[in-house]
Amino acid sequence: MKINKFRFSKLVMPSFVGSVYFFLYLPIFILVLFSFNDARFVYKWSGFTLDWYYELFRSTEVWIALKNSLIVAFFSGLLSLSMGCLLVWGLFRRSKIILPLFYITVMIPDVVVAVGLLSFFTMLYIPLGITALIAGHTLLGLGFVVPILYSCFKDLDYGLIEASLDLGATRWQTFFKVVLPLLKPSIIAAGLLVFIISLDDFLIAFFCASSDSQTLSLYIFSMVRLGLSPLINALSVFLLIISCSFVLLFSNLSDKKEFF
Amino acid sequence: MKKFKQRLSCSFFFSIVPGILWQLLFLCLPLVFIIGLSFFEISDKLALFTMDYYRVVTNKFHLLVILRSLSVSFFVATVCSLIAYPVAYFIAFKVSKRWQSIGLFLLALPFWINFLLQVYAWCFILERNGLVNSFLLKIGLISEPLYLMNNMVSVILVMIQGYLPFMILPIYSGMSRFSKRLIEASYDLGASAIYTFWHITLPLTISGIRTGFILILVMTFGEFTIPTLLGGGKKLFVGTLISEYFFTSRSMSQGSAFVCVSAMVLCGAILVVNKIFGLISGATDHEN
Amino acid sequence: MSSGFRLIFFYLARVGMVLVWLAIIAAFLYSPYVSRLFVSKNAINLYTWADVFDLNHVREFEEASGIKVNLVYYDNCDELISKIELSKGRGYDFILANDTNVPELINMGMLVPLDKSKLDFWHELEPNLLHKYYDPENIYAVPYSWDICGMGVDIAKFNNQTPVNSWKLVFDPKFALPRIGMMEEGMRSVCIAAQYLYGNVSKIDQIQLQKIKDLLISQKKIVEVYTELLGDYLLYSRACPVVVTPGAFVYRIMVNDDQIKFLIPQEGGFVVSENFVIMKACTKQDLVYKFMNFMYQKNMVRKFVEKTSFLTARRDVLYEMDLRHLGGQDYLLNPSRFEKIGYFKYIAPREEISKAWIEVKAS
Repeated sequence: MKINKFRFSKLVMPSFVGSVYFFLYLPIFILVLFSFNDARFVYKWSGFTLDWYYELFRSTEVWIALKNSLIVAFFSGLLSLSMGCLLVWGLFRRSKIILPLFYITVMIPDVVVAVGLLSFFTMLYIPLGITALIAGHTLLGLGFVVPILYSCFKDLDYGLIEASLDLGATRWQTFFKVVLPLLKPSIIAAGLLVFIISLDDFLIAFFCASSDSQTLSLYIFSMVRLGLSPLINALSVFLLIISCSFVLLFSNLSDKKEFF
Repeated sequence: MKKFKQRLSCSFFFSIVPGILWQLLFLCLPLVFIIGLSFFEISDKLALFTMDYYRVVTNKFHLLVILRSLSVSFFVATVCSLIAYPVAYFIAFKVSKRWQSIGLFLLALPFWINFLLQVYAWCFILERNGLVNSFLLKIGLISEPLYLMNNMVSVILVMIQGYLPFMILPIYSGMSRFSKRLIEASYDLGASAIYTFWHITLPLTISGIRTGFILILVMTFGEFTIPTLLGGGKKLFVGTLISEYFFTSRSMSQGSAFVCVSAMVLCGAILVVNKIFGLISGATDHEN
Repeated sequence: MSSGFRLIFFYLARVGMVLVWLAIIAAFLYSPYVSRLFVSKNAINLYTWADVFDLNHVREFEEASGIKVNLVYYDNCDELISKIELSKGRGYDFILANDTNVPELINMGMLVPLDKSKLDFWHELEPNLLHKYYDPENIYAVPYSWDICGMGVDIAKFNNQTPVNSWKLVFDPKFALPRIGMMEEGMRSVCIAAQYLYGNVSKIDQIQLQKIKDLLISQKKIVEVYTELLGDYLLYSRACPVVVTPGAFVYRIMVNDDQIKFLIPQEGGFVVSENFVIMKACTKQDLVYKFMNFMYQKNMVRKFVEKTSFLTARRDVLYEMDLRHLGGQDYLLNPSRFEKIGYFKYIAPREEISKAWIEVKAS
């Protein structure tokens, strides 16, 4: 491990960390750079062009896929957040048996979850499509929402809740007017996390999507299999801009450390 | 507290039921279905109990696929730990608060970009005419382009890039829990850097490493997109074989049997990893 | 007494709540069945290969007729059958299916016979493509586009000479250069190996399948990628000197590059044809016929050919195309020559082939 010599830590550590970050961001740089490249297949720079952006905005498939992804992400986020909040309030620190149930989602590989959902849906003749996707993504979301909300809830000052009850509020009033506002930072963090995970998810969509529910990940996957078109680069730049603005907006709303 | 110590009232029950029901219905029940499917041969509304599927999936080809996936996962997790630890250490202890927030923010940003897009970008980098090869050819280090795509190199490299943040964050959160002053105090008391690391830093952060290691192990074991897009379809991994069974060969029972066997192997691997980490933390604690 | 009732009521209430939530979740999950009833009467769903239909052409149809067409893509023959099986044939009105899939779809009883009186292009179709093994009377399927599977080669790697015109180029170590592109679908690779070893057979037995498997395993060392759709990219980027791929992909590159050639192997090569079939669950067959009549129009077919370079089933447009890379129209479409070309059929039971292919891929 690194010896804490003055010069060593001033030079080697920062350059190592810097190169790690560079490695992590290399694909993103490439995506942005080559979205302006004027050639279809070639990995050499052939001139600056905005053609791919025009094609992107003209192509309806991308927007349909994006629309589907957003719908699924929004509803699964909504469902998992509401169920998670209700669950956390209802259990109220008495959760030795039930809470671990929600920790196993993360412990199981995504493939197994997706395949399980597929078998489940087909055996019960549940139609595949957007509703099935929302169900699956809500499941994934719960696996993140419940631990995050619960750990925040545990740290709440119980005195506030007791005070509210002593002053005559019913349990539901306490929930809506006291507990929820206190949980707001972790609700926002968990909600954003579920949203991203749902947008990013590929496996569940791959196994459980149907004719009317092409999502963004599926669209990108089929485009990559077909043969690389810089249209995808343009799309990724577009998504990058949207995400950056989202994240910057979010980081103004709450403490960055609580994000994790 | 007394007000809540009474048994669950109706309204409470009504509120916790959906969450629990959802989890049971969509996670536990499907897993039961899969386990059940693997034992029955279903044809024309009849179900015959059979162990045939298990006999097939325990032949050497399937075990080879599982072993391959497992060794790749272990390798990726180990490399990620080795890279992530110094990075997390640096962010946690060596930089100011402001840079810490920036560093974490930068780590989080790639999550917002769809991972498939990043996999796609790696094609540009690793191709025969891609960036790496063009660069190496230009500076004269190699005379023929290297084969970096459509083999294990690209698969492992992209897995490391994709899962590295999953290792940095748990280690960082473990490190951020204790203060830098402990390390400084240890130096003040005359301890060498290695002693400080082995007896102070490591025991306190080992749970973070364990979390990250197991997380990466689980996620890379069932990985499907990276081997499909970057592996050239040449080597089968657990994820691609499962999808092959469920989609291409349409033998759901066979696929279920394979899922069960792989899951058991994964559980075994996690137990072994837990044991190893337990031993390490035991060793570092004892000498304390 | 009253406490007993309270206890029963207590548990009943809980069971009732669980059932209520179960009902809500079930209603949510099964809602697509209901919403499908309200779907627009003027929309049809087409399940097709990813790069066949240009959306602009589809949009032309939509504007001309007022009918909305939803395209859903598949990129794998088996995926098509899986999804159809899983959804019991609902959700798609008509499919552009490979000739390989048509017999299976007919066996599953998912198709309705075509009403040829409603198709005004029937007499324009190339006779060589009709009355084939998958639908001898063409009751269910009408071919739209087709292509020949052979090898695209980069002759620069062969000292600028056309290499031997045979599957030996991908199988025989004496002729094959490393890093080739092979077909991803197991059934197709097995058929190619079978044609190389045994010629155009219609059935193979276990021993022959074993030999084929061994051949494919030994071939794996020189395979760069298993792919169906990346052939043009592999040749263009010079990643592979030889790629097993349909001719259209090679043609797209050939027009700009003298060093790329397409070879139909002397063992025969393979024809793949895409056929329209209509699903039994389709309630809007008239709209489907309108779409087909529109797409088979001469100018639409011309646009299709220009965009994708696939061969068309429409005889007049087919004879206008540049088919030098396939030997020219008279050579290729000569019926006795055409008989020699093989088809991708299930020459062994599906399970056997997929087991063999999994073993090849896993090794």
